[in-house]
Amino acid sequence: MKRLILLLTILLALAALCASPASATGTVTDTLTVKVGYWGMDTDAYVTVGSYHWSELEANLPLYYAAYSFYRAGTDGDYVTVIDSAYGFSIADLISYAGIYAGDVQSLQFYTQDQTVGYFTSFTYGELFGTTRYYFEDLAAHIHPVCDEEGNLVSWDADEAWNYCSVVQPMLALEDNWAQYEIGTEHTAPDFSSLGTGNRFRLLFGQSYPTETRTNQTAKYTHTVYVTLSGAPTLGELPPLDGTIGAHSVTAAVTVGNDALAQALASILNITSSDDSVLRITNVTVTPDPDYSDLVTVEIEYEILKEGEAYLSAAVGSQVFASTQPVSVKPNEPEPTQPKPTDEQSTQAPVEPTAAQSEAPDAAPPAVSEQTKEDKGEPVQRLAAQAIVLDAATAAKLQAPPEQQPQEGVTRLTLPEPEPSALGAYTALGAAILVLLGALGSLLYYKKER
Amino acid sequence: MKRMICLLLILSVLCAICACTPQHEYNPLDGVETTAFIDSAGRSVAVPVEITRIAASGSTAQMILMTLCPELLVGLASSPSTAQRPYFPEDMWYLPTFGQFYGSKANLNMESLIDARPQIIIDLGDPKDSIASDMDMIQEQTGIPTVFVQATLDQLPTAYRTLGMLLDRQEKAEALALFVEKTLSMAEENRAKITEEDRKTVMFGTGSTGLACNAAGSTQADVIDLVGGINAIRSDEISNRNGGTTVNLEQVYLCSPDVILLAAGGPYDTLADSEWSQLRAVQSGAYYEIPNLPYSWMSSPPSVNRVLGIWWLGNLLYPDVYDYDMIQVAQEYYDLFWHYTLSEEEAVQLLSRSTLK
Repeated sequence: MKRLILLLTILLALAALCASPASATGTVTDTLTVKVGYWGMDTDAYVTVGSYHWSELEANLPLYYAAYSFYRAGTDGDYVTVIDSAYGFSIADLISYAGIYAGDVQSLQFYTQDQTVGYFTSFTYGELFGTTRYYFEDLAAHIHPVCDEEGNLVSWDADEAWNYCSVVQPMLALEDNWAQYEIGTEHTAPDFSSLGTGNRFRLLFGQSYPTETRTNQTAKYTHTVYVTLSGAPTLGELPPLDGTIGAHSVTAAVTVGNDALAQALASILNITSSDDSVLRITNVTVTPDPDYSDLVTVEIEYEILKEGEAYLSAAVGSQVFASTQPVSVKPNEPEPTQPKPTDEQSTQAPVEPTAAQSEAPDAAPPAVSEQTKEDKGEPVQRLAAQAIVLDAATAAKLQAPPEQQPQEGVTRLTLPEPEPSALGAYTALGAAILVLLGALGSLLYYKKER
Repeated sequence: MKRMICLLLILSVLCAICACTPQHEYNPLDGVETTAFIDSAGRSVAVPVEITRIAASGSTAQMILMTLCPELLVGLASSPSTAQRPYFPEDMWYLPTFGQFYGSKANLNMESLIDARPQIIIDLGDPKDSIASDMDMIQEQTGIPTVFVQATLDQLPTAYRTLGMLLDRQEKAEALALFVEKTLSMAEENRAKITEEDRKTVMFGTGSTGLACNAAGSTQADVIDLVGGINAIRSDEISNRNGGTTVNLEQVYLCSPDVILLAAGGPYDTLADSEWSQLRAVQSGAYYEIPNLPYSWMSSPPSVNRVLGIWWLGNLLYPDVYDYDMIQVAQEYYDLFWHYTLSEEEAVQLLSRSTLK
């Protein structure tokens, strides 16, 4: 019996080892995708701005030839230089083509075909565009070893290289030719006559000084660029919440720094209640403004259910960018009634800033302008309360009844259908649970036997 | 309890095995008439009788298939570069790219390959020791019949005829095979006419320094031997990688080649004014740049491009023996192999740094 269990365990381990994807991922790619998101968002939630076939980029972006120098450790521990002769487009032009304002960019992550998990390399905007970068001509001939009195190599002198440099811009190359040279080789030069497309969308960025070693960041086979924007969406004037028991709604304008993000706000906006038992979100409707591409109207429908205090927060990813003033229900308030929205305006109460709001990152003090629908419930007094973060998933669960068809241009938050990849993940999770159970069982069994 | 544990483990094993099994939604043999094809690795592979969509396993195979049936290719190992494009039909520029299975740049993207829905994957070139298992692996992972056809230079006529039958392109294949046979027999005859003392030593340098060499024994340099030259660069370790043997200038001076061949992008323009200038070949003007469009005529990759390389290098080294008009030969070759009408001006341009120097 022990042998059988041992055999099965070994088989399981072997099977797990060979459970890599049947179709091996290659490295060639024809398409470059640009995704955008705010800092703090899960990368899964980044919004696709566009997927561009290389021919589209070739046809629409300014293309140019440029050479890029590198200085790197060779296989034998010595240093070598590289000249990559390339033909492609500047990353700044790509960002602009994707409709992203360069001034909003905080960082860029480059995902490549030859790395399945995470990004291959990442640059802050300042690193990539705020630093002057150079091509050092014939670098191999302009770096000289510096030795001590006993002839031991102490360092490399590359001062001479500064006399032969030119400024280069970060590029994604459509074609390139990589050539490596030992230090001391003379007359090295770019070779634009033998370019190939095999490394397509190769990231090239130049050196900030002759002996800078960043060859490991020159990503080949880039398939996706994640552009992380600084800042956060801006919430316009948000009216105070209606503190009466019953159903209400509140509407606010959200300005998003990128058109694609604005269009996809419904999928990335997290609106949460600090206490669902007091304030429950029943529906969130996101409507892109017909006139302004970066403006979105968000209508939040909610119910005040019972005595207590709660408030709403809006976030993208983990970054809360706005919170409402809290509301509270006085003691001995009547039980919640069924929602009966009306157009009557509720009575406003003075608003006190809360400690929680001041702690919330980037939480702009919400402006107060009543826009709620009030039922006949009791008015409540607004009080300071702890910050509540609304969860988009919560909002999604509480979407409008299915019979209510969204108007044209209106996006309702809905729970996404499980995707095939998600099914795969669930299957893997199930298998993992089985494995754990098996392992646990084995452990118990052996323990008991002993 | 024991039974429970066993049951759980068996279930886990079954789940894991299921996860490992390749799932192919696309089966090119579904609903079509098939036939058994015995490939050069001795494998019997069921293939469709009528084949209209093919994929190459890499650059070497792609180059040969482009000469025979470019219209059947559903993708490429790599897209043609800007410089290469004029020689190929525009439709071909935008075909999806799959990468290649073999070589230092091995990067075959099987997902893209499957997405393009070829009916067959064809590998052409030298037989590797692992060729049968490699083909089996690709076939298993893609669910697409995968065959190997040996296409070394001497076997190229046979390879063309085999492909002609497989792909129903017998007439075109025969024309290509005959040209290759004519080339090989011409080289053999002419080589025999060259006496040992008349044989020239040749250095074949690549890269911007010209010092990354294709040494004797490398398939990248076999045209030199075929036309009766002697590779001046010798190495204990033979590398079939393009530019696989790096030498220094002292070694070049020591071997003092009669002729220096430089790949495009090398130091051709500066050679006479550099440290190379005292070399015998440089002083006599016997240094040349290899024509390189749409591919190098000599190598990189060593494929059907070498056929033209034989005509070119033979004529360059021994014009009295290889006595013909190289412009006319180039035009004939481009027409037959690349389906491209090479004008005289274009031919002159291609030969301006070698034959017509």
